[in-house]
Amino acid sequence: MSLYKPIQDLLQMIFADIPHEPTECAIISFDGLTVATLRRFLGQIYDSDTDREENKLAPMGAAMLSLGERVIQELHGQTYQSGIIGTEKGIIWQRFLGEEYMLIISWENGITVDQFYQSWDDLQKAIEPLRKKLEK
Amino acid sequence: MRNKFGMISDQDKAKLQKLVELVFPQLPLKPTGMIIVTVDGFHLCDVGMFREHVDKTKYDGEEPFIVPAMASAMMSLGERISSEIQGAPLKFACLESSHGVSLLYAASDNELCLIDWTHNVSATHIYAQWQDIMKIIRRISKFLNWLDL
Repeated sequence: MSLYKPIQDLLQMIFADIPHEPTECAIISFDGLTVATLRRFLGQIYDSDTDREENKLAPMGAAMLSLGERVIQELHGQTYQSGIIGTEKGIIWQRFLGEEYMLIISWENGITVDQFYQSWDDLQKAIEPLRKKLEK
Repeated sequence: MRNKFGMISDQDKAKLQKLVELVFPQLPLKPTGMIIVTVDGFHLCDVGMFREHVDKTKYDGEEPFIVPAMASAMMSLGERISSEIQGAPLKFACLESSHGVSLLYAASDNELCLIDWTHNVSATHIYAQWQDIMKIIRRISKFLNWLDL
């Protein structure tokens, strides 16, 4: 069994509770390795790591993490904690889970920053099991 | 007016500087600085902590002012990420540290606006004030787009 199987199972468990039906969700390790991924396609949820051509969330998340850290270090002299990217289609949110992992969620359904903010508490509640497990 | 390379004239740069100084105090949550740069990393105007940073660099000559280049790099990567993941153009990137928040917004096709908040402002504070922040950015966008006419 993969070392990361329990994390993939946990992500599968909480995915439906994440508000606004995200398109894709991934957990990457601090060094950019894919730990767990899920993708929603035509109403079905599946492990997108089985299709590596499709799985761009984890490597792109790792790239964002790296430059985000550099920018934040330069501007604030502090450590990078989280970030969002707003696109014409929706939002990509990235957040540290402890010191080793990062959660990335992508919504492509036209969600606005206001809607994202309004569901902030629900989002925090949904990811709570991941935080409990990985923020040790 | 822009020249044939899309660069803003010194006269319009001075107007942009005045506009930035005018709107900066109207931004919510008392930001520490705001800077406008070109997409290829050239500095156009600034206010707040970036002003001090520019002056320090100018006179000390020791520490290169890398914020414009960094903003440009962040926007390029953001563009790549949004295109690869969602197949859509980028609008903004917002980064949070334990100390504050940096918001990078594509103010026009050619220019980026970077606003920085410290003093323990969090990303949720920024999301809560999003519409008021956008009102200010739209004023800057309007000016920059007017230069294209």
